[in-house]
Amino acid sequence: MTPAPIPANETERLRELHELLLLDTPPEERFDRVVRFAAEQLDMPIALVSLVDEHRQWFKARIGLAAPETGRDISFCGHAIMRPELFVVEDAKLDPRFADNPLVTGAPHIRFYAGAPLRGPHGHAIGTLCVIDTVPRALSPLERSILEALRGLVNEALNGEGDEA
Amino acid sequence: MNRSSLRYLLVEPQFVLRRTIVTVARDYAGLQLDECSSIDRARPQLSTTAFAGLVLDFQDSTAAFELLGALRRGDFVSPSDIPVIVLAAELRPDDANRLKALAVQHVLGKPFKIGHLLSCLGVHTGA
Repeated sequence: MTPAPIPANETERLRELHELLLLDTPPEERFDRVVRFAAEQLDMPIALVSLVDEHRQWFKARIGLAAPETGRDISFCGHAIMRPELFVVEDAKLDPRFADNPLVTGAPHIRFYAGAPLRGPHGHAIGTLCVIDTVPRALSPLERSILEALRGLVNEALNGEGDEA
Repeated sequence: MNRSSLRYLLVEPQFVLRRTIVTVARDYAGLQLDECSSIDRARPQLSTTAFAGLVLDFQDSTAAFELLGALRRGDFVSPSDIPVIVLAAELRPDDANRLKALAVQHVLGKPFKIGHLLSCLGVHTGA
């Protein structure tokens, strides 16, 4: 397993995440409805808004997963925040970075992962909107477009934008 | 006329559904969908803009029928015969007959896949 790497801008990234004052806060409908919609549109059993903290990933919104957080070192989202584009693992069991990851070998038995990095107001990658399946699969161009659109909605919410009228 | 040069109007109260449809239609299919969250807000838009099609939520069925009736009578700037797609969480048999009489092209039951809606708008989604 390859532990989630630490970005070069980690100090600034963590500062931005902490300044958002979202960690360990109660669920909010504006985020919950996005993960519900992502799971429904993409036929995924799990969808999350994951915030990558110093030693953990904490889920601001989650569907299909009971745990409120996991260690950062084993997180897929810790890898996803390292790049600006969508991070996709079509079959974790065939990927040497994840094949022996405890999230793959044990519950929730991740096989497929797609994470779209989320950015705070100052542009640092503070987490992801991600979808997870327990079987290998791929995302179609349309499904990618839907996930990107939903990422935009979460980014707007993180930045205090978006008119829900 | 190129489909991408046409404007459609989406009337949908659910924020996440509405915003996602508009963004995916634009980024994936190159379609321009103007949006509004209610039939009350749709009326001014229909009065000032000629749309090539209408995607209409059916939650307020009374208001939806009134709007469709006005559209088909030619009360708006848009041609009276533009294609209409209705989005309905539930539909009574009588409603279905009335929608058919108003020449509604498609009725999509909620929840529906965005790809299905795009297909109804003539977009090839590869699905």
